[in-house]
Amino acid sequence: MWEHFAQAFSMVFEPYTILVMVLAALYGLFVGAVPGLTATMATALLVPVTFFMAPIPAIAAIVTATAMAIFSGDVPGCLLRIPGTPASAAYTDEAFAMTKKGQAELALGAGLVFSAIGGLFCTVVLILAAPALADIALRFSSFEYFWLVLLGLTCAVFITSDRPLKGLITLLLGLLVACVGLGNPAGHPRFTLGNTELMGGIGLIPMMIGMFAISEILRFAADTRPANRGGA
Amino acid sequence: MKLSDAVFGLLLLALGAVVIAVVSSYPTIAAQRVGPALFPGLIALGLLIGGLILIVRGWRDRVIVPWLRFEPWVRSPRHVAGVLGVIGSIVFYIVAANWLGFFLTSLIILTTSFRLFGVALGRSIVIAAIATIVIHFAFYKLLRVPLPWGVFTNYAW
Repeated sequence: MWEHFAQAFSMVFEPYTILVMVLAALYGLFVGAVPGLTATMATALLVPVTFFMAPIPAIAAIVTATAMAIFSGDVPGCLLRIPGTPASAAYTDEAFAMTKKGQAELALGAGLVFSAIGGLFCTVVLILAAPALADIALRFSSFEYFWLVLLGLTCAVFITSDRPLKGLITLLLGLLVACVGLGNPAGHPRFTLGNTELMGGIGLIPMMIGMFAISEILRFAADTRPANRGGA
Repeated sequence: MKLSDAVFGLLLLALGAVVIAVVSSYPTIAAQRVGPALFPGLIALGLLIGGLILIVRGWRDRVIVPWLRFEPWVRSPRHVAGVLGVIGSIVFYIVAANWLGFFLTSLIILTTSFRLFGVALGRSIVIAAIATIVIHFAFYKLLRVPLPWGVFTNYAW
């Protein structure tokens, strides 16, 4: 088994592969840090380029760009309170609060270190337990998904605020937004107001830009403290 | 601008009522009790209950929390213009982008926004023009987003 590991490491640590990973990391950093462009999009744009590469650098490029894009969503989230990717939305306020206290490096560093640890841990789990996990995943049916979603929604209420009622109402409003479109068992257009664009529903990215980016611009526009007006 | 819980409760009641009114006209599936109206209906019911509790709470706290509290920016015309400008530019894009085209819409929105936030006129136009071209190149050419051409349809590249 160990010679396989040694072989794998020697394949990854070739200079060409390392160079590809550095470039893919820079690319992922850029795409992830632009609010509205996600890790999925970074991968999709990278795939045509990887056709011209050997398999190992190609996979290394995609994995690196994805991991980097998911982390770098923290950068605008921490510095501007506008998350770059949906994955960073959960702790944007906390990271920005640290930036306001002058601890931006600490917040970003924590994000980087723990996303790296999380990624490595998941890789180890996948290496060791992929067949067992696949076995469980195949047995997932509507019932399991129902309880999983219910668990997630319950958690959402208790995480959102110190007042569960307002959390619950916010959750209901979110669910109401998710009802828009044709995505229901009957295929009936709900709340589309006759607009064809709304038939596909409201995506996560436009929602995130509206909730975080637009609200941050409005907050800036309504900020009456003279220090924040940039000499205007 | 901060609304008291009671005002929020009233707004939620209104929203819940509208949702129930809308979904009541949705069709039912033959021989099934679960149709497209069920889930929004449940959500609307939740909104109604939540709204009622908020109204009761707001009514109880009415001596300490005013119905509507204005923050300092509301009394400064410049800040009100900024907030309205941001909302107005989104509405303007939705309404005008398809027939005016991305170039003109973006140029107008960016120049107006820069002006509202106190950038000099000449500099606003130059930065808006450069930003428009860069955004168009990045999204139309590189990311293949079908941005509308509008009045420039005959000159599309």
